[in-house]
Amino acid sequence: MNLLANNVAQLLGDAGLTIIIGLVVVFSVLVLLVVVIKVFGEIMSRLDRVEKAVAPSAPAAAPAVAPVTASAVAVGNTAPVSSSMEIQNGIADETVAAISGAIACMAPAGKQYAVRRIVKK
Amino acid sequence: MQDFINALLELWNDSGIARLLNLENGGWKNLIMIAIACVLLFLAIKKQFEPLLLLPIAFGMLLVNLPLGGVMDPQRNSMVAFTQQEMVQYVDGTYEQVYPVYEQESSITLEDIEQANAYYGREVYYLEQKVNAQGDTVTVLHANGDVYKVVDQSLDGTITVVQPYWQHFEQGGLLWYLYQGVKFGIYPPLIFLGIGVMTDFGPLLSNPKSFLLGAAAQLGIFITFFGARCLNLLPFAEEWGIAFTETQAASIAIIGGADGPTAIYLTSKLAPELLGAIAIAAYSYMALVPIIQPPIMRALTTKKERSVVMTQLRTVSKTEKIIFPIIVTILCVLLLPSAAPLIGMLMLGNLMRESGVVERISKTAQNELMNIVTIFLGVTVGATANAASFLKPTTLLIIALGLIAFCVGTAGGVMLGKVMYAVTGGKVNPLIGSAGVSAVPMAARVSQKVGQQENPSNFLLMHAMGPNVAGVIGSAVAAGVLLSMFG
Repeated sequence: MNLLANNVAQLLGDAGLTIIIGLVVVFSVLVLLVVVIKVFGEIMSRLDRVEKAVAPSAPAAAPAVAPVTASAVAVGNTAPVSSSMEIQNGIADETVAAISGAIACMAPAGKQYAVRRIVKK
Repeated sequence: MQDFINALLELWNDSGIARLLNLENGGWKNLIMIAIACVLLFLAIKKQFEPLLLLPIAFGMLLVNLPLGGVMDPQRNSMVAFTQQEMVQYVDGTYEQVYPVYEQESSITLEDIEQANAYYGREVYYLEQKVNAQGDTVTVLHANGDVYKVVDQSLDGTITVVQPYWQHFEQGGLLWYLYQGVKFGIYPPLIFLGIGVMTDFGPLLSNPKSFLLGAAAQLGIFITFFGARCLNLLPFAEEWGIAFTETQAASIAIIGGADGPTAIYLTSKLAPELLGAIAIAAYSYMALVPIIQPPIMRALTTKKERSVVMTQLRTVSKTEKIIFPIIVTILCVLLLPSAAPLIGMLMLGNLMRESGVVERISKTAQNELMNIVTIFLGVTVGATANAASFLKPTTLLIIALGLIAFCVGTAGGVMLGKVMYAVTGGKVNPLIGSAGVSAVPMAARVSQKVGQQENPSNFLLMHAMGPNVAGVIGSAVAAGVLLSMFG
């Protein structure tokens, strides 16, 4: 009888221990991930704030421009973007490249052109 | 005429139909299994219950239970000893080798040979030197009519001869070969790779507390493990075959994770004999999430709690999304190395998605590779459910324990959701806790649906996706814990 009771106690004890170990490990790993992600998220948002604080001062020199889409002057089909072109704040370089590429495709062959101004409407 | 009838009878007796209708010899079991397979096919096709997996699983089950099909027969390698005719050819160097030949050496002494000859009263054992077909001089031992090739003669009179064997391969069934991917734990991590590519961890990153809900929903796994082990205390447990070992109990309990690949991975490692029943139970419950979860969610929450509208999630930057899989991999694998295959593949897939630099392989992982592996996994797991292993009281018990695991897991998630509701002063809707059981994205959709029943303008889906994907990581971690404890 004692042996049976011991076996029962052993079985229940082992199974109970598995519950505790299992839950503790699962929670620990995930809590650790929560902490790491929180810290990382905090770092990222601070970096964002710093970037935003720096960003407004840089393009202040950009002059106000008339709401014209994009004007292409035929100068040469190998120079799509002139270095002195006016770009309204907020237009990504990729957008400029894409517009320039589209103009290059549409421009007559052999003619040169330069993009002078791209303005967001 | 009699010969013709006999031939027809022989053909009939060798047919699958005869075996199937041989009810006394277990044919009825196959008939039941075929009926079950047809019901599952109906559920997959007509009711669309997880059809992507249930359909191949059910078809695999159907195929394996058609007698004599042999689709799941293992490959057999046997060693066949050379006949005397083959031995003579072997010694002469004229043996035409088709299969690999292995030589087993054995020794005999000159003294033994003399004793044997003395016993028979004539020279039945003697050595002979001859030139074989290749032009080589070989020594042959004639032993009472048999011949052996002598490979060594030592000075002390010991003669070493060889007995050649040819290795015979009996080809296995098609599904047996495909099943090796399950047996060696290859398919589930590959499925995880595809899941990783398809998963957006953004909602989880914007609300990291969701991880806790994903952990709480693993409660079902461990409670069910306890329950399965307690069945051993029943006086008739051994007799009924329901006394589960620790490895079997762990495999059954993982059904509570509501994550098919994880359940298959763990079971293939710990209790492969239960694979068919566990896989079918796991996928069935995943398909039944919209039916099983809502009553539990409603029973454990008040109308006020269910009506909570959660605030909008913050935007997560691309950098965060890229670094997340790297961090998770490093932390999880260092803490729990046994979870490396599942977590590693999941996070590799996610990194491929978020980095955006490997679009081609990312597309392959979530489409072609995922589809191919799903077919192989489904059909071979179904094929493990043969009548002999499936039609047992154990199977019914596994299905019942799986349901308990699933329900307790759902309740665990909701209960922690309630705690978070109380702690945050009513900012968290406890309904999102039920999504912590994985079953992506079905469980999150259920949270959304139950929430909208209380408040039609409430959109919980993105909030529930956090615990939902956390549940995938949570169940993989739980599997890692069980694997390291019992593997």
